[in-house]
Amino acid sequence: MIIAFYRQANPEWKKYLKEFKNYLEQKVSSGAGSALDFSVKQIWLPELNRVDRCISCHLGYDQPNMAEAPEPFRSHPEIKPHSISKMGCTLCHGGQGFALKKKDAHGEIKHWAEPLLGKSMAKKYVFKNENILIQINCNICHRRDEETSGMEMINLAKKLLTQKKKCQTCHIINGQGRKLAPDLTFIGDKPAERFDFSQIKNKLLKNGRPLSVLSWHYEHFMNPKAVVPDSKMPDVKYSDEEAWALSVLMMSWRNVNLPVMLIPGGKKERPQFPEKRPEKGKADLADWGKELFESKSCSDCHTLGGGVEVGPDLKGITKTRDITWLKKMILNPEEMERIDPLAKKLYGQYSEAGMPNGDLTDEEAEAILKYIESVNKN
Amino acid sequence: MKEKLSRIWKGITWSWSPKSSREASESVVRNFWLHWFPSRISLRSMSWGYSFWLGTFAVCLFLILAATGLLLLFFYVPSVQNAYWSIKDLENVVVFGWLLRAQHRWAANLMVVTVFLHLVRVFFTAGYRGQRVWNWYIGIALLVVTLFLSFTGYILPWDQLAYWALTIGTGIASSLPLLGKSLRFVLVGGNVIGQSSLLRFFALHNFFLPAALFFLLALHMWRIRKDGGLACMDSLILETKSREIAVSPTKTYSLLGVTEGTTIQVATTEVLDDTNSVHSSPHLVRRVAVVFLLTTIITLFFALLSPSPLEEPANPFVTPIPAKAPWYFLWLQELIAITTIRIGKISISGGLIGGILVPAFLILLALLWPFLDRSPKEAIGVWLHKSRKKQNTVFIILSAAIILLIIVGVYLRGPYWNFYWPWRPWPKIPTLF
Repeated sequence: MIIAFYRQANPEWKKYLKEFKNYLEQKVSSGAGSALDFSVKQIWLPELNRVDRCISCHLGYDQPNMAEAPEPFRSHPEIKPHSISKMGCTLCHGGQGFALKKKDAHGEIKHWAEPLLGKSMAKKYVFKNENILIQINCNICHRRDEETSGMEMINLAKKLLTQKKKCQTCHIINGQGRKLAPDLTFIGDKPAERFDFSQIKNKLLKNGRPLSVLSWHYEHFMNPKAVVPDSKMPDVKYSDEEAWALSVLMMSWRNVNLPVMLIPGGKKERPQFPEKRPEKGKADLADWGKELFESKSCSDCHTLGGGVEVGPDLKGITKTRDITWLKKMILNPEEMERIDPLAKKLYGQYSEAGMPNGDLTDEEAEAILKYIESVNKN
Repeated sequence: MKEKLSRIWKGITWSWSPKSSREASESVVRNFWLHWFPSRISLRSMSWGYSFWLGTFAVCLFLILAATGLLLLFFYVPSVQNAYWSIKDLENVVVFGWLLRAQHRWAANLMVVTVFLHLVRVFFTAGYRGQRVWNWYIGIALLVVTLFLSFTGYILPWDQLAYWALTIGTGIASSLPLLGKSLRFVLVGGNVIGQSSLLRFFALHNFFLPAALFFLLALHMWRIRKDGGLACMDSLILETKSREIAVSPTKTYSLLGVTEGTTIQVATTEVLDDTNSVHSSPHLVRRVAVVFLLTTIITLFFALLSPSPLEEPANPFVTPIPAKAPWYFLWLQELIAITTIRIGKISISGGLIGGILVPAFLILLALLWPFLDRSPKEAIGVWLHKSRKKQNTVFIILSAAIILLIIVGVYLRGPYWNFYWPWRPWPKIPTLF
C-alpha cells in the first residue's frame, strides 16, 4: 500500500513540474513559480475526440519568453492562425495525448500506431529536415490547398500530381478518376497489415530501413513493378526527393473528422485538382496538340516512339490507322470499345485497361492528331 | 453521550458476547458469521495443508474483484466509441485508477487459477463422494461461471485483443450443431460484432454472471454445512466412531449439538471435542480474515509489479497476427487449431471438435465421475489415498494435457499459428511509420 501511495503521489509529470518551477525561479524571478498549480494539465477537444495532456510536461508551450528554455519547457513557435487551445497537440505532432508518461505520450510503445512525427522518427528515415514528417499531419487539414507555406515536401508532391503522370488516370482520388487501380482518397488510413511487403521486406531489413508503410510507398513510387509484380503502373522515374514527397502525401490522405472551423477556407468548396485546359491562342495546331496530348493524360498511357506503356505506342499511327477511326477513338472511346471490332480487339490486347474519355472537342482531337503526325515526320 | 455510544456499540456487538442462553441461541440466527459457521471447526479443516484454503482464497478474490469492479464502474463507459478511451483515462488520470485496474486484472487471473487448483484439491481428496456430489456439481457450475466472468470482462476494454477474442469466441459458439447460429446471434446481439455485443457482455459481466456466482456461492456454502463440513470430517468420523454414518433425508440440522441422532450433521457435532477442534468464533473468523488479508497483499503485489496491458483500439479491418484467446481458453484454441484438418475436399471443423465437443466431454466426465469412482469410504477426505491411484493418474494426465496446451498456446505459437521456439524471433510485422 505504501508503494502504491508513493507511486500515485509521485508520477513522472510532477517531476517535470518541479523542474519547471525551479527553472522559473532561477531564470525569471524567485516568486515566478508560486502560481504553478500541481495538477494534470490538458486540452480537451470533444469535437476531435481527443484529450492532449502534453502540456502537463511541456509547460512553457504558451510562454513567449520561454523560446530559449530547455525542452520540455520550450515555448511553441507561433504559426498563425493555428491555435493550440482549439487544435491541441497530437493532431499535428502525433503521439498519445491521453498518456502522462514520456514514452507512452511520445507513442514510442507497442500498440500505438501514431508515434510522434519528430526528430527521432526523421532520424530513422535519415531525413535531413526533421520537419518532413509533421507535414503529413499538416496536410490532413490543408489537403485542399494548392500550396501552403511551411509544407515544402507536400507542395512538391501536389505539383507532381498534376505535372508528371496524372494519378487519376488509373486511381480514384476524391471521387475523380478511374477504377483501374486502388482508390487513393484515404490511402493514409490503410493499415500496414493490408500492404504486401513480400517483395521488399528483405531489401528494407537488409538496408536497415524501417519496415513501414511510408517505406512501402517510397519503394512503390521508385519502381512499382518491383513492389507489385503484376502492376500496370508506369515507372515515372521519380527522383529520391520526389518519391519521398509523394509518399508523405499518401500518408497524409486520411479521413479525419474535422470541425469546419479547422478546415482552411472551410466554407468554400474548392476542387482539389483545378483543371488547366490549354487554349490554342496563337500556337501552331501541332504545338497546341502537343500541349493537349500531355495535359489530357494521353501521355500517361501512350508514348510516341517510347514503346508500349499502358496503351499502344502511337508513333506512326496516323499512317497505319484510318484518321476518321482515330478521331472517333479520341472523342468517344467507350462507345468504340463497345461496338467497333478493332477497338474491342485492342481493348483485350492491352490488359482491358480501357481508354478514358478526355472530354475533348473536335478541334482538340484534330490538334492532337496533327501533333502525332508531326512526330512521325520528325 | 457516552451512554448513547455505549448503547450503539452494544447494539452492534451483542451477538459476540451473549448474556443469556436465549441471547446465545438468537446470536446464531442474527450474526452472519455465527450463522454461517458451525459452532466448532475441526483442526483438520483448519489446517493449511489440507485444503490450502483455496476455496476461501477464491471467495476473497471474488470480493476484491467486486470491490475494484464497482469502483471501475464509475469510470468505464460501455460504448464502442468511448470504452477504450475511458480505460486510457483510468490508467493515466484517475487517482489509483492504474492500481484498481491492475488489481482487478490480477485478481481475475488468480481466481481462474485458484478455482482450478481448488477443483484439483477436491478431486485428490475425494471431496465429491456421497452426498457431496451436489456440491461438486455446484462447484463445476462455479468454474464455468468464473471462466465466463473472466471472458466477458476481457471484452470490455474493446481493444484489438478484446475484439478478436470475441470474434473467435462467438465463432466457436456458432459451430454448435443446430443452435450454433442462434447462439452466436444472441451473444453478438445481431450479426455484426459492435455496440450491441459490448453492451450485452457488459450486462453479463456486471450483473447476470456475478449474481449467478453469488447465488451459486451461497448454495456452495450451504451445502458444506449440510454435508457436515469438509470431506476430512468424514474420515475423522470414521476414525472416531469406526462405524458408518448414513445420511437421513429428513434430518437436516443440528441445534448447537444438543440433539442426538445418526445423521452426518449430528455426528460431526458429536465427534468434535477439545482435542480435535476449536471454536469457530474466534478461530475460523480470524483465519478467514487472515486469508483475506493475504489475498489483498498478493493481488496488490502483482498489481504493483506489472502494468495492465492494452492493445490498439479495436479495428475490424485489421486482424492481429496471431489472434489469441485469453490464456485460460488457449488450450481450446490450440485444440481447435490441431483438429481443423483439410484433406482435399473433406474438412473437419476444429471449432466443433476442439471448441465444443472436447470441453463438453470433459464437463460430462466431471459430472459422471462421482458415479464412476469405486474407491472405498476410507479414501474420502484423505490426500492421494492409495485406492485412488488409477483415477488420480487419469486426472493428472488430463490436467497436464490442458496445462501443456496452454503453455504451447501462450509461448510457442507465433504469426499464422506457426510453431516458434521461445528463442526464435517472430517475423517483423510492418508498422505505419
